[in-house]
Amino acid sequence: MTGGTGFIGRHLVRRLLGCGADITLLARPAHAQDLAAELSGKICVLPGALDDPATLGPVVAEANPQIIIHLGGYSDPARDLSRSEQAMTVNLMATMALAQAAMDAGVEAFVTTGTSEEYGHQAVPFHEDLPMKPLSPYSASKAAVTLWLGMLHDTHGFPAVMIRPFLCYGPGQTPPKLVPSAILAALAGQDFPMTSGQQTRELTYVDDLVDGLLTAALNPAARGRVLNLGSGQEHTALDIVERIFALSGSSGRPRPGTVTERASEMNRVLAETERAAKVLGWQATTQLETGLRETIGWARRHGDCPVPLIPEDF
Amino acid sequence: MREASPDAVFLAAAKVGGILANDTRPAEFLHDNLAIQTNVIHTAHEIGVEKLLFLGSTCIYPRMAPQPMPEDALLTGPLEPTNEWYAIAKIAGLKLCQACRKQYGDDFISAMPTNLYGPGDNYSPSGSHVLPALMAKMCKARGEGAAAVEIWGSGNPRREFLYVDDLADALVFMMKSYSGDTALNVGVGEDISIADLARKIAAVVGYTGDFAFDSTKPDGTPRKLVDVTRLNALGWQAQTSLDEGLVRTYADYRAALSSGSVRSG
Repeated sequence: MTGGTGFIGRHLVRRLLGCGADITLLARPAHAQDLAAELSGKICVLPGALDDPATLGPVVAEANPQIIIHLGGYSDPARDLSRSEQAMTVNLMATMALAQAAMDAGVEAFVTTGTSEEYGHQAVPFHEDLPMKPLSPYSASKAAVTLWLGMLHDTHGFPAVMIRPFLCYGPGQTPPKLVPSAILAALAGQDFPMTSGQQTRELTYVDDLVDGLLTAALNPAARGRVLNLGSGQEHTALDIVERIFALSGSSGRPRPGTVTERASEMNRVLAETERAAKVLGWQATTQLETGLRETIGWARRHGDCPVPLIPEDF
Repeated sequence: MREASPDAVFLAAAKVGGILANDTRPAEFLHDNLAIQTNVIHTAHEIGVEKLLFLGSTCIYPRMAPQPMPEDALLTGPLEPTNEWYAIAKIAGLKLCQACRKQYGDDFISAMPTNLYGPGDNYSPSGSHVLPALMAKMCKARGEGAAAVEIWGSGNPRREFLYVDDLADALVFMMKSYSGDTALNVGVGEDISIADLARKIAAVVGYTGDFAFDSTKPDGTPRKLVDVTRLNALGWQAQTSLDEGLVRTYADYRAALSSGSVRSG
């Protein structure tokens, strides 16, 4: 697994440990040793860097995995072009290197995550077969990954599964994402400056997303496919923030209209999820209220700390 | 069969069902299974099929057989009455294979698999076995945010579960490299308590609630597994851990639910 220490990765690792999986995490060389010590043999750690794609092949060969779940990458959706090369190296070039090594190792499945921003400015709900219209170097690099893996599947039978998560949230997520930023402000009793908040977003709880990743990795019918994973619950950003402040019992309040909107902001984000339902039997089951309560509860106890990779009772 | 003229035959077809079906339709279970195996085994002999593998079930062993059940426990005591019709037919089938070997020198062998699970299982609430039934219950509980899942019995009985792909592998192995009189057990050689199984399934499906064991419901026999010493000694061993098998079954179960391919009854 790459990105195993990221927000989604941590939740997936915990679920996989419960399933009795043998996990190997790719970790930046500078952190690999510390991480290995922290995990005390329960999870294997191998050093490798996504921004140095040439290092990845040997790592995959050493791990000799049955399944690769590639969550790591460059994820800054900024619109400016100053870090375009980094986005393409870390997302496209690293994925190409991992996929080549995965092919050599004969993996059963190669699961990776793209972004709802690959759809760009189009009418909702977004169906997987819509053309890709990315809005930033980040989403353009993810779209390039989708094309590359689709080609590898169609031409070489490579078992790629391309998941498009729709705004995942949950315990242990950190700012500058909307939900944790609003929660931390609310718990601190601060006001929350934000845009008008009229744009809609589809929030998907991390446990639901993890369930989709797990079943996608093991379902032969998922290979070669792009699959949206979204909760189907569309809310305005303002509604989301107001709910957070209400559930937190905060003395602060949202301040809509005090921040200028990002260039080319998407007005509505909503997934068509029929394909995931049909192929994976996947459906989000966590209501927004339930998910927000869990997420706020974690932040109350642990601030902006990520969830530990190994559950306490494991 | 004459038209296909096979080199080898796997005889996996049978009329199967749970305790209730066995109990209410004993004549069908006995007759249909006798008919299926008699026709196929006899025809295989007539047209000179080189090898035939007949599949039975561990219910052929006596109710009070020692655990793990060795092959030589066969016909040493009375059968479990609830499915004896099916068991009697299966015993006749393996005996027919032995008889063909004895009288005609046919290379006909038999395999007796333990409880199976895996993709393609019967996930219907009414007709399913303990493992898919637990999986279905916990998925439902997770979706509904239920605080507890009820499990029949004390959770103490121990059972053995063989992953379906491992059985397929064992059958191919036996077809290639076993030629003997004895019907061989196919199993894992390890068992697990229903309570521990429930915990594993909970971790796989992401159910975090509690279990309510209903001890007023019957436990059944305290332990049931096969002795796989003989098959192991020939060089075959089950490869799929219960952990891996469960998570693969879960992915299949979810997909089956949505495609409406959950078989009923």
